[in-house]
Amino acid sequence: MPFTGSYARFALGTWDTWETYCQTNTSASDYGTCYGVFQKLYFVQKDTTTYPVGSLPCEQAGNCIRFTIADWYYTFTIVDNSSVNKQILLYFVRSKHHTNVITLNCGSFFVGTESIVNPSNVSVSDFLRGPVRARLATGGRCDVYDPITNSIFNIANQTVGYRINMEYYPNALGLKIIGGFFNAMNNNTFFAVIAFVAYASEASPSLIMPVDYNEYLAYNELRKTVGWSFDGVNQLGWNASDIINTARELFPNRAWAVYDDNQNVLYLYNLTMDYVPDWLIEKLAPTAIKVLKAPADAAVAKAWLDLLNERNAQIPPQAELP
Amino acid sequence: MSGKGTGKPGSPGKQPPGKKKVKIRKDKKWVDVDVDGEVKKGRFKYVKFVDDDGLDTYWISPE
Repeated sequence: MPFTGSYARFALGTWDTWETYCQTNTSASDYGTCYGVFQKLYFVQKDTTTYPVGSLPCEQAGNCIRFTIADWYYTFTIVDNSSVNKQILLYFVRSKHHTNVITLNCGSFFVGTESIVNPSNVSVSDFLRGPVRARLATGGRCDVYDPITNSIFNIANQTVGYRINMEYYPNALGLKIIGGFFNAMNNNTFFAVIAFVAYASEASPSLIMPVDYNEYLAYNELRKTVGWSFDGVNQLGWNASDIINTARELFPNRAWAVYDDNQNVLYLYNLTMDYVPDWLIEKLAPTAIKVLKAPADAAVAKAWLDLLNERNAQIPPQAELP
Repeated sequence: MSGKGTGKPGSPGKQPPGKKKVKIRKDKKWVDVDVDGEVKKGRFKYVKFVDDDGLDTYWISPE
């Protein structure tokens, strides 16, 4: 079953074109003029005496938004209610600023996925719970497997540029552009951004197994099969049998479950029904539950349950152990 | 013979007497299964039986 998902595209001043450019040479006759602009880009010019607000050609042409403060960061909100209860699969930004060089930023790429567990109460720290590597690609390499297109994005050669972060707000996805160490949000700077956001909906099979991110990261097979989610429940994949096969190979001695939302079947491995918490049944409402393998060691099943409850602390544990 | 692992849960004539039978909706058909037990989880009640694949299976109770 294919991963259910879609892309959202967000453009700020550009539309996937290399032509976007603003003249930032104050000696040039066309200073402040912007070319190849789709809708509006942002132009930072603090000097309101020499360049009163509204006097820049791009302002007059209506294709820029003027900033008179060179702030540390600017936040754009991609209003997208569809992101609620979905996972961000990948996210990348192409931005351009005061030079005529396109900079590919993948600083906000997530190697894998993270989920929005409770969209009404999401903090940045919740979302960025993974290690630094999860949100800031090092060395400009961003190897992210995209099940929607069945391809791997590997954006290399990241040059000096703005650092792009993303944040979640209730019911919306925010994009924060932060001045980096080398190219802070300088005065007399323009920037244009195009962002792609891919979503994967919860209507996909999931591996129910709390794993540490570092553990997840180590397994290429696992990364290609399911996305990582802290709660250990919303680790979505795209094919229940593939998830089962991969989990069997990688974790033969651990307890895990796979929920096939297509057949509404919950598969248990090294688990019995006794260890499945009521809240999980309430959440998934499976029609059938199949025991692939009963636990040889009850401690393995108990560890699964304890960790699952711990990571879903908003739901009181209700399972009665034998 | 418990019927476990026989892969024939829907054959009334081969099942040991005394077992509770229920009809469940499976693969768009109603089938009879011998119930090995019942378990309640949250709002849901499941009946336990051995499915065609030989796996211990819990099916949402038809009752």
